[in-house]
Amino acid sequence: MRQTTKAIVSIASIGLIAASYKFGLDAPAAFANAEALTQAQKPSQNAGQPSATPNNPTQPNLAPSTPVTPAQPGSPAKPSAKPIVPAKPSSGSGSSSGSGSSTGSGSTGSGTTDPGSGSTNSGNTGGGTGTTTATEITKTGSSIRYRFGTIQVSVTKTDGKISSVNLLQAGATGGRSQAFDFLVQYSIDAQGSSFANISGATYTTDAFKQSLDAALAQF
Amino acid sequence: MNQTMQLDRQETKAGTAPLALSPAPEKLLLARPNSRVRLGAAKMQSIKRSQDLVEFLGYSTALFITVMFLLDGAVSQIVDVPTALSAISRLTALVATDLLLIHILLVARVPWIERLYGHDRTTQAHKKLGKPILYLVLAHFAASLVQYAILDGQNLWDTFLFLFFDVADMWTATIALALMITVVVTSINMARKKLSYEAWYIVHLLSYGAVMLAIPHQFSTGSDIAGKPIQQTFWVALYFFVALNLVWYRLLSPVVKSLRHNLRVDKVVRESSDTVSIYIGGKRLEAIGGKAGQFYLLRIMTASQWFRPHPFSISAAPNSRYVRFSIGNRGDDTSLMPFLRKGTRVILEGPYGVFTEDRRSKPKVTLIAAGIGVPPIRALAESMAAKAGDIQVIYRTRNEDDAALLEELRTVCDIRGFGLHVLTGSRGEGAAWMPAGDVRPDHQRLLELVPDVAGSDVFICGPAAWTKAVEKTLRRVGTPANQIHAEEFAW
Repeated sequence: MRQTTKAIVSIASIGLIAASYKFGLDAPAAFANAEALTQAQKPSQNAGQPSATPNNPTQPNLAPSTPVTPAQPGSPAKPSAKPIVPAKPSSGSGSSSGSGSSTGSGSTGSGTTDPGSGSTNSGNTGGGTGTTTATEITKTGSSIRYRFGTIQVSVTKTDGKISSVNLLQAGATGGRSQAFDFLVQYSIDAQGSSFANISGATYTTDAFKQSLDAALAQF
Repeated sequence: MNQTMQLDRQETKAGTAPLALSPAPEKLLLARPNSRVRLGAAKMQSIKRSQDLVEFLGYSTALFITVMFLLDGAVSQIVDVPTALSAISRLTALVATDLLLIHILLVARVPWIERLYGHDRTTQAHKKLGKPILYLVLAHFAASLVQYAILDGQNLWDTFLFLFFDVADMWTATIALALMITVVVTSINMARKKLSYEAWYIVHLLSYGAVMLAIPHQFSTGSDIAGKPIQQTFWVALYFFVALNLVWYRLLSPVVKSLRHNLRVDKVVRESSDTVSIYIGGKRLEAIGGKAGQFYLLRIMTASQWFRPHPFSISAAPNSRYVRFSIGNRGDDTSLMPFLRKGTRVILEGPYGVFTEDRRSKPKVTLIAAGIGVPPIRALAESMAAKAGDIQVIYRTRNEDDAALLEELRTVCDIRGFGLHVLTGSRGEGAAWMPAGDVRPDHQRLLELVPDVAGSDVFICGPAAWTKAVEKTLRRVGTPANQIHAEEFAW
């Protein structure tokens, strides 16, 4: 480049980099480190489910009994997710059995690899909560043993879109369990497992993705 | 089409003996000079502007990924050593991938790059980028490894094994890294002449494999690509852009051109004791493009030569009858040239090079050739439009009776009224580029031959060391650097 061009481009890029750095500081921090993470940064805090998320790092295995179902604004499944969320707690029996009365939507039980957790395949046509007749199908992924525990997820699709991801088994040590909120949210946002690994929880991410993929493969 | 093919094959069969090396029989037909050439500083200015634009485009891709990286909050996430390593790992990977794609584009023989910088500078830029890219990728690898080792309290080897076997697509990425190291190491050895061209070339092809093997982990686990639509779109577009340019310009376009024009060796003519001219014939050759002073990579499609392209300048201005190369015997593949058979198919990759009238800014021109550097000078003399006396040709040769293309140069200069100075004799002392036998220094002798050399564009073609010596003399007599044109063959 000529001297003048180089000077102009350099100054412009310094400005641009400084600006993006500044904006970057305000960006919502992803899961960076277990210790560094404060509750205020969690996305599910805004989801209107104060008690449903496993916020307590000392009890990481709380997850199976309380499905994480963030209804994030902007999520692709938002319109149909609304009537479904209230239906969820009715199945809170502590086990991970599926909920809802099957109205024969064609998804009968199939392919769960782990006998320990219930296979949850149920068709649900939205109950009587509204005029929407969304088809809700839940499939369970295989349970994945990894370095820090065991992870198993079940995925619920409403009208063909992933509307919620529940953790049936959420084993993780050393604060890694804090990654689960993000993993659930990411998988819903990405409608699958193609999202970035959470730095600091790569193994957990990987196990989560494996179970998720196994569940999605059954649809 | 079929008939032509058969005819050609018969002719090939019939010509079992090499063509008789007859002296040029036909009368010299000269191409019409390009009288619409633009001169002046404005042209150079516009070339520089285009160069700036291309460089800025390349630079802006790196800027874009850095900005997206920062906007993502990558820096604000740094709180301790592992997070810092994570940020380093991400940024080095992003910049390395971007540079790698530019690195590939630089050897894709893309016309809009070659036309601006020339084949030699483009190839040099490609070579220069190789090592920095490898260092960045190594930094990315090391930072990731140490980061995970710290986080999990494992030693590096266990962490490596885990990443390799248990994290999605990491094993292909590791193989890609191994291939990249191999490619760079062999290229350094090639540069040091420890490795043959063929061995280097085959290993170099692995780099395409390396690039492709690295892609899966970028898109499945890359923190700055996976699940981020803007970045995903950007990278997919960049990959496709580079791939399409590469496949078309480097691979398909020369083959298509060769088939469409049915390019074949037409005849081989002896020019001097060690030089032959190869005439390539074909259909509609006026549409093949090219300018005087440019060169092609000539790929002779025989069993032993098809994978060894060589760069040769055209030795006659582009015309509708033939593409002509004049090739000196250098003892390597060039020694086979006199034995080429009529009808042998050839592939021409190119034309490349900016050693052309596009770089001319003055009405006056000095053309300086040494030995087998004469072909592009001969072609330039034929195609340049100038008033009589405005072009001076200097031809440095050992022996006037055995100088390739000298008769043609004489004819061109006679018809056009250009000055021709043939300097014969053995080399002068020290760094002198003029022949021995005159006590005056080179610059005085040059000023005597071409008094206004400082006000002219000078095109030099000869051996590298000799060219350097001429350039030095030119600076001594005050020719501005941007009026001195020389091109090195780099391939």
